[in-house]
Formats: sequence, structure tokens, C-alpha cells
Amino acid sequence: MKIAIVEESPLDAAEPDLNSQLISILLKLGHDVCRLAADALLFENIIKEKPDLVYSLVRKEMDTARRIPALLEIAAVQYAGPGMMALSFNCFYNLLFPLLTDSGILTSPFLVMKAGQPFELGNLDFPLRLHREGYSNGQTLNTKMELNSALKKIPERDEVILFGHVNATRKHIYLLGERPLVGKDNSVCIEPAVRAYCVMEGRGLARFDFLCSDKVLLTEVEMAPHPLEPLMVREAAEYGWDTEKLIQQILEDAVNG
Amino acid sequence: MLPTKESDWTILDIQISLMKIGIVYNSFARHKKLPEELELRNTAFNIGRHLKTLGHHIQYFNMDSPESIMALCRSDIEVAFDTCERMRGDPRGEAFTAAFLEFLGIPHTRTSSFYIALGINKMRIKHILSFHHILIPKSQVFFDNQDNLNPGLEFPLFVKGSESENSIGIDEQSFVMDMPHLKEKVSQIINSLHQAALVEEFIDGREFSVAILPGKDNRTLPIMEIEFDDLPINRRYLDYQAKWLTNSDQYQRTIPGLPKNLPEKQKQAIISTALKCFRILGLDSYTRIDMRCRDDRVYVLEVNQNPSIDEDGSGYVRACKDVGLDYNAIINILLANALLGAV
Repeated sequence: MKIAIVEESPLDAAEPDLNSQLISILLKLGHDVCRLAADALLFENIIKEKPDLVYSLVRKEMDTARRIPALLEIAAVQYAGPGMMALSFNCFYNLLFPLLTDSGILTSPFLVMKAGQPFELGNLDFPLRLHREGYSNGQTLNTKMELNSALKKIPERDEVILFGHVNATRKHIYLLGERPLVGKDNSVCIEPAVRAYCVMEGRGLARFDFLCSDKVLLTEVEMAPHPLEPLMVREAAEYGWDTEKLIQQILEDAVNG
Repeated sequence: MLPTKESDWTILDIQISLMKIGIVYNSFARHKKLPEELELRNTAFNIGRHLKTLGHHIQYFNMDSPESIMALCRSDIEVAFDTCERMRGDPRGEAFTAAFLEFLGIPHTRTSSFYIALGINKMRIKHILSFHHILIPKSQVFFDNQDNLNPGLEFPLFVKGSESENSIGIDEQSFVMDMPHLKEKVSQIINSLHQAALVEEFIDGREFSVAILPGKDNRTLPIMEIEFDDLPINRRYLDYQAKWLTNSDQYQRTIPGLPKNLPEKQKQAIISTALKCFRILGLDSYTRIDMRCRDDRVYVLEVNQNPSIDEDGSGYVRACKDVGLDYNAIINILLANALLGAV
């Protein structure tokens, strides 16, 4: 296949080494690879290059990353990796977690509120984790003072979600399509992960993190993990896949899914 | 009191000087266009004509043409008036177009793409609203007509596409009183629209819609009520005919207008519910929320993030005109709002 890799512009990738490794693997698998920048000419370049598949590795600028699948859909080209919805949910936990909860998926306790509104923490224990709407990274806050200071830096009308601490064992699971890559001791995560994956219109590789005690609580999602991130590679190996097999499976999932 | 002058509605610190504006539209590939497609396309060109008479420089970009899309990528437009819906029949096209404009850094007149995408799946919206204690009709998605009906759902029920818009798929068979008719309509939705069927309890009550005009302070326009004349209960809803076929019985007998005898408490509940939905769903552009009232309770039926802004027929434009805003004013306000988002 001819595969177009999309990277941050100007070729300033979040994980340049992993991207280079990925390209080497694709070439080793016999594919033809071209590299495209995620800039205003991306659509035109895709039309010109006519790739069989596009793989976006844009990760640094999530605002850009989550819009690229839309461009690919408009270009009517096949692509690997998450769609627009799933990538956006990565950045809007304030909408995602209420949706998951109302869909019957157990999650860490949370509170959604405007940054400027008065609030009561209720049953949320410190340390808290705060996610601001539109941002994929959260921050940990150990005290009320840290929380108030963090909220003051956020525009009052912006929505935030606060997750309370839960004393439990952290586990995670990777899915490819709806297929779990099962490692040791995380089979309890499969069912809720698959359900969350469907609710989020998941596509391609995704990782779901849980807190497990007497209940299995979804606490974080990553809908666009780099296929060669070390944890992924280690777990794929436990599943019996080397990196070439892993990449091959991702491509097949993209083409057949 | 609602502002009565256009200047009171515009974002006062952004002046709409003469600009390079792109009109982004669907040409729809079919030779014979459906009524809603014709309206959409005509709306795009009509908006362009109005903007041109105001002195702006206008370019048109057809999102069904790769060449036109490439021209959009290379253009120097300062803002886009986005009228796109669907792409190759896919309702997600609306969200894709908005996302594409955002990718290019072009402010546009629609709500942000993520919120458009969120709203395409009606059940998803219901879950989010329900979480925030907004009343919605009890609902269930059917992926197959063999799915079992949830125990909490009782007839009469209302069946529509889980992702369809423009009332496509809503007809005289949408109102169902028994299981065989439910299964038949579910099958028809799945087979003809290629999407899951949304089945919800039928709320028999007065139907209202609230249009929201976006801006620094998002404002509700006067509540509109749909009167169903003396139609029987099983036809008391806006179906495809009522929206698009002007010669049909249903169109003639479903009459929008200002509500009569609406108690103040109910009026405030309707307005407050509309604004809550707007806020909860992160919306930031023109929107219409459709509701029904039963036993003093307000149920949200639909949140329409892309109500028609056709100059001649749309409820949204009618509501604007009721407060003295002509079409040029509406267009200016939407442009100002798009630029406000870019600040």
C-alpha cells in the first residue's frame, strides 16, 4: 500500500523517534510511505498523492489532531486511527464522563462545573485530578488551595471536571477495534472498555485506564496512543505480537474496519 | 425586554467592516434534489446575495467538489458562512465541514465542530441532558427490529432515525400503538436510512420551540408554538410533509405562531430549559430547541444546532423577524458571532 504519514507542521513531531521507527517498520513491511505536514495544503497533498491509507501521528497540538479525521473523511480516503469524535472526547472529559455514566458505565467519582462557579466537593477526596474542557491533559491537585489557584487560571465560563481520589489498583487495557489486547490481570476491564469504546465511536487503537477494587471504575481514556509507545509494545509482546505484527494488525483493522 | 435594534444585538466591540467572506455549501450531487436539499442550496446563494449587496467580497465553495475544496484551502477569506449539511449522504458531513474550516483557521458561523458531531447522535444528546437533570422522553435505540422493548417504555411510542435531520424518516407511521407497527417502522428506518431507530415515549402536550440568537450574551427569541389544528393525536407532530411539502394536509394544518394563554411560570420554565440545554451542550451559534409540555413539565425533544435559516420559510428567521430583525441583521449577527469566537 501507499501510506501517507501526517505529522505536525513543520515536521515538528511530538515523538519524532517513534514516528521514524514506525516509518521504518512500514517500509520493512513493503509499503510505500510519504510524509505530509498537517498544514493548509494537507487536503491538496492527499488528493495529489492518492495514498491508499493515511495515518495521522499528530499529537502535540490536539486542536489540530482532532480535526484531521474530518479532513480525511472529506477527502474520502481510508485512514488508521481514531475518528473525530473519539479524539475530541479525549479533550472533553466534561462531556464524556456524564455520557459514559448515563450509558451505564461505572467511572471514578467526578464533578462537572464552570471554573468560576461556587462548588461543594461532596464525596470527592484529594488528591483531585482536574481536566479543563478542550484539553487532553489533566493536572493533579493535592489541596483546596491548589484547586482554587488552578481554577483562578481558567476562564470562569470554561467547564472543568474534577475526579476524586479512589484507593484502588490501577489497571489498563488496550483495544484494537473492539478486540482487547489482554495482558495479565486485566480481563475485568474488557467489558466496560468495549462499551466505552462504542460510546465514544472508537476506531483503531485505544487505551482505557481503570481503578479496580470491588468495582471497576473507568478513570482515563486515551483514544490515540502512539502504536509504538513502550507500554503498548510491551503488552503487544505479551499478546504474542512483535512490532511488525502490531503495525500490520493496525493497518488491517483500518482497511477492513 | 428584548433589544429592538440590530446594533443592540451585534457584538459592539467587533465592527463588521467589509470582508472577504466564503459561502460554504453543498451542491448535492443528485440531479433531482430533495426539497430540503434545494432549500439548503438556495439559502446559501441567498445569503451570498445579501452579503454582496452589503458590499462584502463573496466567494463560493462547494464542499461536494474536491477542486472547490482545494480552492478553499488556498483562499484568503476572513470568515466562512457555513451552510453545509451531509456529505455524500452522511449526516456527519456537517461536523466534518466545520472541523475542516477550524483546521484551516477560518472562523465560521456554526457551532464548534465537536458539538455539532456530538449532536448528530440523538441518543447521545439525551444521555448528556438526562445526566444534567433535563427531562427527556424515555427512549431506546433499536439496532434491529428483533430487539426487545425496554419495560419502562409504554405505547404510544414515536419512532425516528437516531441520526436523521430535516424530519427525514418521520411520517404517518412514526406514531405506533403496538408491537407489530413498532417493528415495522423500526425496520423501515434501519433499511432505508441505514441507521439505528430511536424509539421514545410520545409526549402528548403543547409543542414549543425556542430559538437562541448567539452572541456575547446568548439570548432567547420569543417562544413559538406549533398548533396542530384539530389533527388526531396520532398526527400531532411535525413530520417530513409538515416541514417540506407545502401542498400537503400536514403542512397546512401544523401552524407555527406565538403561543396564546401560556402561563408565566411555564414560559419561564421553557426559556430556562432552552438556555440550560444550550449551555450544557457547549453550543455557541444559532440553535433551536424543541420541547413539549405535559403536566407542567417541560420535555426536550430535540436540540437543533442547524435550524433552517431560509429567508422565506424558516421558524428561526420568523422568530427573529418578530423582534424586528430583518434578514441582513440576522446574517450580520451570525457573522459577528463567528468573529467573536475567533477573538
